[in-house]
Order: sequence, then structure tokens, then C-alpha cells
Amino acid sequence: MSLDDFVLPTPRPLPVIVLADASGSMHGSKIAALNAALRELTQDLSDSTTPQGEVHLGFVVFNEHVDVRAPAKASEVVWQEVQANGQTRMGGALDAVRELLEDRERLPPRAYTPTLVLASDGAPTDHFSRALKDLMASERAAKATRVALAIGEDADVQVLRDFVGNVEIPVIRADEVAKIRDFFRWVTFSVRTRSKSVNPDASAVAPLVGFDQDDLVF
Amino acid sequence: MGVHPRAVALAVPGRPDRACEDAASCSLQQDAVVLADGLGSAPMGSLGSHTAVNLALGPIRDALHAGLAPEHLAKLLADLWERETHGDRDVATTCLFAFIAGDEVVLGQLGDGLVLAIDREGQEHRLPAGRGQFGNHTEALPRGTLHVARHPAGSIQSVLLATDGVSDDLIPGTEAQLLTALVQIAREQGTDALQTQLESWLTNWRTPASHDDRSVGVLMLESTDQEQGR
Repeated sequence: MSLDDFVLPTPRPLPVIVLADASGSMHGSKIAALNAALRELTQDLSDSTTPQGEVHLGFVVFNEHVDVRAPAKASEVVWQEVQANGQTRMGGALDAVRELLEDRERLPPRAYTPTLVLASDGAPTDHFSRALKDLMASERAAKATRVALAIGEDADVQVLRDFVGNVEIPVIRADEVAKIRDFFRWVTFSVRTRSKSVNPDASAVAPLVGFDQDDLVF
Repeated sequence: MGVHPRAVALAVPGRPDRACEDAASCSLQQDAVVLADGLGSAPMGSLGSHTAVNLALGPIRDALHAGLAPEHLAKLLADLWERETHGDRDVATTCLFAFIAGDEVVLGQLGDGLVLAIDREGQEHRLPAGRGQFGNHTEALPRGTLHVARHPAGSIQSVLLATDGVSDDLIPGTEAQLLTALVQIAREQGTDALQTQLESWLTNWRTPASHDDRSVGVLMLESTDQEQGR
């Protein structure tokens, strides 16, 4: 038996989980832009073996239901388009992502710190506050880096700020659908920057270049 | 029962173009092995790891040989660290060790990585790793808890130390088999051959995109009764 037989042949995962709002208010151009942006994100991260690990991409799509697509190698993920309908079960989505993060089989301790990306155009219609409290009380889930996108004028920015929970990372506003794509390009840039860093856990997000100051809500 | 110790320790950089921030060493008598993983997030991680190894192989080991009870090691290490680094927060490191002191084997772990001993009945003994929830998160000097265990020297067959650059990439559940394989190489081919094979193994690491520095230490305790019997 060779000494190599004791060593894992797979890179350390660098997990990215997108919580995507597909509620009824996203109907029309917003859900079309979100689908396009997430398709592009998936394609851009598909070259996922980086100098420091391998990007694993997962999704939690929420509306009337919560659809969990567990993280997998980004190179093997294909974005399945979503339709907008129903309510905004953002609290249910947080519960689902907490369960994912606490699952050491799906996210082993050797994985780098996960990034959670929340994109929503409205206000939660369920138990968001309790779910966020549970998320932050989870020793593991609370460690994740969190960023958020407020889509349109009706987005509950305060809820998204509470989710981010970091005064140095603003919620980014996208009043025009074109900015949804800009946000996810920034997410891709952040993930790629982290994955090339000597210490991927030290550089949480990339510099906020290309955004108007009015779009950043600290 | 008397024991005849042998030891191997080495550290290799995770990237050939970067200095190694791990440190690894064993005593001249081959009765002590120490590893330390200087934190890359601290500006002087390399200084930290070498300081920890020097303290462990120097005053810490001396104190144990002078009869210091292992439960006082944490306080001694903290005091020595403060004296050496003057409280500089830019210096941070983990510290793993295995010493033979008198008729005991003393194991210590502060931070992540692996400290695994196998006794003569084949049972595994591990120290709790002070690791975070995800990779690259760990407790480290100057803070963190030093976990210490002691065993009768005659009861322990071998000890494996590994920093997280190695332990995080090992197939879970195979660590004891790995230690057995390393001891087997040393028995059949000698410790120089083990050192050479370890260096090649660590340098040509199987896990893709793994650029942490990598360190391993092995302490083997041959029973002199067994040796005489052969």
C-alpha cells in the first residue's frame, strides 16, 4: 500500500450557496434577469479548480416552497431556471441553509468558510427573524460570509442588512435589472479572489468597484 | 519495561516559491517530536512556529524531565511564549508535541492538526483538536487551550503528529493505518529511509490544489524487552 493511498484525491471545497427569491413579486423582468445572472455565475465558476481549492456551488430557491440544491462541484452544476410565484419564505430558506451548513458530511471541516448570497426583492412572509437568530446561534453556520442583493425599490433592505450582519459589507441595491448581473459578477470576482488567496478565509469579499455609492447600503 | 525511542520529523512548504511557515524537529536523543504551524494570517507566522518548537524542545522538555507535572505545562508554555514574543500579536502558531519524560509519554496539542498514539493493544488515543468550524480556522498561541495527555511509556507503541496541511487531507478513519505503515517502513528500512519517503510524499502531495505547508512527526517506542528477545 502506497502512502498516497491515505490521502484524499479531491481538493478542499470552497462552498458558495445562493439563496434566490422566486416569489410572485419577482415575476417578469426581475426573475428573467436573476435566471440569466445565475446561469452566468454557474458558467463562470465552472472552471472551478483553483489554486486553493474547488468551488462548490449550491442554491436555495424560495417562494411558496423551499427548493434546496445542495452544493456540488461548480463544474458539474447546471442552473435550472426558476419561475416566480407565491410567497417569500425567506425564513424557511435560512432554516434550510443552516441545516446544510451544519451537515459535516456535505460540508466537511476541511472546507473553506462558505459564502452565502441572498437575493430578494421583497419582505419575508414567514418566520425570518427566528430563522436568522437560529442561523447566528449555530456555531458553524454563523461563520459563513454573507452578502445580499436588494432587487427593486420594494426590497426590505433592513432585513438584508440583518442577514449580512457586517458593517463593512454593504447590501447592494439593484433598482435596474442590469445591476443584478453586475452584483453576481462581483460575487464571482469575490469567489475567484478568495480561491487564489494564500489564505482564502482572510479575504471575504472583493473590493466594491463599479458600483454607485447610492447602490451601497451600509 | 524499557523503551528504545526513534523519531522522525519534517516540514515542507506547500508552495515551492514560498517559505515554509511550519516547523518540525525532534530531539537528538530521538525521544521528543514537536511540530508547529505558523499562521499565515499572522505576519510573522514562521517566527511563531520556530519559537514554539524551540520552546517545546528546550525549556518545556527540560521542565518535564525535571519532574514538572504535565498539568502545569499550559501555564509554563504561556509564560515562556509571552517572554519570548513580548506579547506580539503578529506571531501566532499551533503546537503539537510528543515527549518521553521519565517513564511516561506526554502528548500535547494546541490548535488544529492531529496527535494520535497507538498503544500496544492496538487502541488509538487522540487529543482533541482545537480547530474551528471550517478549514484554516484554528486555535493558536498565544491564546487557545493546550490539551495534554500522559501514558505509561511502556504502553505506547507509536505516535503520529501532523499539521492540518496533512491531517485535513487524510482519508478519514485511515490515520492509524497510516501510522502503522510509517512504523513498518522504519522497522524494515530504517528511519533515514522513512525520512526520505516522507519528504517525497509530502512534497508530491496527492490532494490537488492543496498549498498548505505540510509537517509530520513520528515517535516510535520499541520495547527493549522485545529487542533482547529477537
